[in-house]
Amino acid sequence: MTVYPNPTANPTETEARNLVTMRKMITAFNENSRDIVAQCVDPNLISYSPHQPGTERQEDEIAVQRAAFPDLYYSEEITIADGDMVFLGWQSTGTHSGPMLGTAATGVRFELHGGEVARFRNGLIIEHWDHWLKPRGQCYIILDALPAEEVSRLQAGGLL
Amino acid sequence: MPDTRDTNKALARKILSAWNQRGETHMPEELAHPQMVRYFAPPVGMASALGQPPVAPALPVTAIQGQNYQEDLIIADAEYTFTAWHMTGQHLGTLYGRPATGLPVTVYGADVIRVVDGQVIQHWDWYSKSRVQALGQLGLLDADMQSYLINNGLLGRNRKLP
Repeated sequence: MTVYPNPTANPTETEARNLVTMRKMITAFNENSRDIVAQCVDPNLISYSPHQPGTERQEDEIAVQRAAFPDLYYSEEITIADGDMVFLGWQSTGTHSGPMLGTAATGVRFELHGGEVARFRNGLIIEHWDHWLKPRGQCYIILDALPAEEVSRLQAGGLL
Repeated sequence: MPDTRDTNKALARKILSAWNQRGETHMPEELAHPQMVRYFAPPVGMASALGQPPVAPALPVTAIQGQNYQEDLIIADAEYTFTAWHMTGQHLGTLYGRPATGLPVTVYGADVIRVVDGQVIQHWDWYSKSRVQALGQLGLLDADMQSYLINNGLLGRNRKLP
């Protein structure tokens, strides 16, 4: 059963352009492409959600994710465009094939659901939020990689 | 005539307001389309009053009391509305078998609704995020609790694949 809605109906020209760019970010993550990120993200991007050390820049987050989950694949579940804002809900699948949080690869395959919010300026992402939807804790639990000390560390960093 | 986006945003705000009265996942009858479908994780606990597949709130109001939902951000087109929120409450009742700690929690979450004829016809949420977040804040996210979440479908649509 298809449970996900259609893309924004009758978007304005600006909204349509922003949706194209938001979807290109999915491609950037799937193709491990720093070049595509550079085409989509304003160099002065402000991200309001906590990130793991070393992943403040979007392209660096791709690299960290790829190291643990080389086959990680994102697909769109829903997009909503509203003026200069876009919400993107995604589904991802992957296999834990590299070390993560000091945990060796488990070979576990997983499915995760999350989302991103972006504000655009001149066609580029200038602000970003993901803390409402980032399934970081759920991912670690599924991989059996969340000992008590890591819960504390994630908690302290606002990463859970 | 008001913009459809604005009326959809107003509807989303009514839902948040209802949650402050009745707890998360409550859908006031006047806002629910007769054919409303809600896409939640595998069911536990609470059953929907509308005969739809049962749904579970992120955090039961008996456990996290004084729940107060506040809007962080709303994004809407003519049909769909995304609502990002945060909730504050206090752990004053048994939560998944664990006694009250008395601790406060602040968690983040989001919902998407599709509106037809001024009523919600579809509803999606990502509620496992706020549940895991709260358990971490309360010091209850130990190995046993993690197993409990997995075994009872409390990680939402997030899952281990075969």
